[in-house]
Amino acid sequence: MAAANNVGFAYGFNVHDEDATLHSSRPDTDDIPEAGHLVRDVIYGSNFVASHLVHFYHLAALDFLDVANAGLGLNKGPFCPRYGPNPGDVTYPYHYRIPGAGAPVNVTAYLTAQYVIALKLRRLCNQIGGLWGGRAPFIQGLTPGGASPSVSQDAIDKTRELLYEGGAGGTPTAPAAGTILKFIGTPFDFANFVNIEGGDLNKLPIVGTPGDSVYAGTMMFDVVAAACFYPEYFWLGNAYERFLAYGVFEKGDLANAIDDNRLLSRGRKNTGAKYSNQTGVLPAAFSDPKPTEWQSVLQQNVFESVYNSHYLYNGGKGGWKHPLQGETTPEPRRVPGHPTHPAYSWIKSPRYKDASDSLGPAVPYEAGPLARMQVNGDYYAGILYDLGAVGGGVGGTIPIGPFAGVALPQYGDPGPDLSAIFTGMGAMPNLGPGGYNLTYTGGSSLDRYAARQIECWKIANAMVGWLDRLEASHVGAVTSITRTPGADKYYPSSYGWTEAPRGALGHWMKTNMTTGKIQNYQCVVPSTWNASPRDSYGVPGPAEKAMEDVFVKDINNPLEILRVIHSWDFCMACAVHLVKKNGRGKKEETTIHIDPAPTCG
Amino acid sequence: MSISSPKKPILILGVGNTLLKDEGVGVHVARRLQDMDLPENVEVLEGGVLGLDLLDHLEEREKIVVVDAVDGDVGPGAIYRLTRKDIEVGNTRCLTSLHEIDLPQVFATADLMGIKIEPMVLIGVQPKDMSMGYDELTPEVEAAIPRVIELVLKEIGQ
Repeated sequence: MAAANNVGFAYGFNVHDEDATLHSSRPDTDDIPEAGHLVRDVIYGSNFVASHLVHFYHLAALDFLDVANAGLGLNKGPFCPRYGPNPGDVTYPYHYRIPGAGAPVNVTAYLTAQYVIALKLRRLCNQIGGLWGGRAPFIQGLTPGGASPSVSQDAIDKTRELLYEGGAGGTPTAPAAGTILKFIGTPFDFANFVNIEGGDLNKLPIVGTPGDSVYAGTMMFDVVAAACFYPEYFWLGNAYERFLAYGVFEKGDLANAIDDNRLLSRGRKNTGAKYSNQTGVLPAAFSDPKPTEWQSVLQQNVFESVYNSHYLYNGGKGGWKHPLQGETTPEPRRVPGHPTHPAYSWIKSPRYKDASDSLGPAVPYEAGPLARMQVNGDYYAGILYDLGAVGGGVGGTIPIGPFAGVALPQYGDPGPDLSAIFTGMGAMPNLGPGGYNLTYTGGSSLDRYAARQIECWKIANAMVGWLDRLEASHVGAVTSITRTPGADKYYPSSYGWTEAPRGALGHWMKTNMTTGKIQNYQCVVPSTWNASPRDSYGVPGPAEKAMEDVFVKDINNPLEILRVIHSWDFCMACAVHLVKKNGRGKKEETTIHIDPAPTCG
Repeated sequence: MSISSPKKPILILGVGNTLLKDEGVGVHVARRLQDMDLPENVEVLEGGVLGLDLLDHLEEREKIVVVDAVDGDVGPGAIYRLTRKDIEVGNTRCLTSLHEIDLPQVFATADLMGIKIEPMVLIGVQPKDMSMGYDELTPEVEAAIPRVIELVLKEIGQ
């Protein structure tokens, strides 16, 4: 079959469009001009950063942060309350631990202000997308042969303004206030609690009393500020330590020895530990030798099961199908003759075939920023410990909160003693003599949050280099070649791979060689890798697996589950579109939209 | 810092999902208005399901008219005129994904950011069918569109 995997592509804000763009690229050679690759990478990089900002602040942070507790009078949606508490609810301190109004430092107010700043930063990212892609989101600047915008010095200058100059002459290493690089910070902020920059929070309408919360920190810092109060999530939310990435930013790192020239490599990794031949902490030098434990990803090994999904294969539930033979036949009803349990998901179960894996012949892999960073060697169990001490170095401790002074976890460490937090809360499962009776593997909920921010930092800084390369060699350059449709360009079967911000995204296509029309088109999206139900072997998908050790204190306020589930950035609208009209309609009615889905992965 | 071009003072914004029949009525109205001869100071946008990305388009306007499907438990095709004070944001359910941000939440977020979305008028249409169906409207909602357009034009002084 035609392997499209060496064709450079990156895409804008609708990644499925991009995969489709790839299909129409010539799959055998990469003839896209370097300028086209770089323009794509800039567009796509701005989308990754925007997506990660939004995921952390506007979706996930609210699982840890009770905005109503900020003392700022914010008690309505979309902020709060998401779950509980009810008046007098004794579980309250357990649910939300970040200090709020009345505490010596109102961390809640500070993080709430950061929520607002992140909205503004997201806009800056979209402006970059608009500069290079014509508009954002749903950019139009991509073509099968590259990218449509010409490379102008003006666009380069404006992008630098947004990234780090800020109208004040900021530099990549000393970015000006209000810029993207300034807000992201560096991985060393993880343990550097004093690394708070002066900002203009006074201008924000939500900041009530000056001195109460008038700080502007970095995203890296904010992740740890939240994590310090919830350290057990370094031990909770583990899936399988099986990480998969298709790779992205095709010409993003010319020195990358791991995998072509991608900034983020394609591959698999079957452990959360550091690559055994990896030296240094962060960043792993891009030109490091290929990591010992790195494994390739082959498209022929991707298969899907519908055993517990609301679909049929050949009229039944059995068997596995490769996406090229894929079938999407919805069946919302229980299937006669099917074993006792009905299907329970509208998501199929993608698995990777690997006979050597101890988990069995069909292996669930997780996709997403943690997977990309693990594959690339940029994240591993204990990296926060390695980065931990103020200013970097080995031996970090949790800087604030009830666990201040406790060492950050390293691979194999047992869970912390949480008795101080859970006083009076009654017995909890999985608590051994010293804490959670689990070992740290680097694949936890907090690792997903941390890896996502490290990726954000890596991409935003790489964008600086891409702009330099565009300025040095490509101003006014051709960014796209012209592709002419024709029978000699058709391939009976082809596939396109890339990364959405939320993980590995693949499209497979069969083509009628006579008419050139599509015969079968199947998407396997990251949210299905991560959120899939049990397959025909009874093996749960990563997210279901990750919930196994999670103890829910109050079933009416299952925040513990959210903190695990939101550590992935599911696009359920992509995985499946299920609309229940119980709110706006008179009677309950279900509408089903099956994959392949039109949005973002 | 802004790198965008100056905005037109009046914005007509049609929002909704055109994959879900009547849910997309706002977008259908916007498309028809885009085909009309409107004054230079008026911009007509299809907001689709952009959610928070609408903020950039809503700010720095002198007048905003939004068209959307609105459920007021009246018969299909009924038309509403709402202002900011009529649109309440309740306590949110938990979001499973950011694709779920709706218009009231966009307004609430604007408040938080200090973005002024006023004066704003929302012309709403009661949907009948919001099941799957690309670019399809029920006859009741289709029949309401000319009147909706009249009302929108009246709001902008036409």
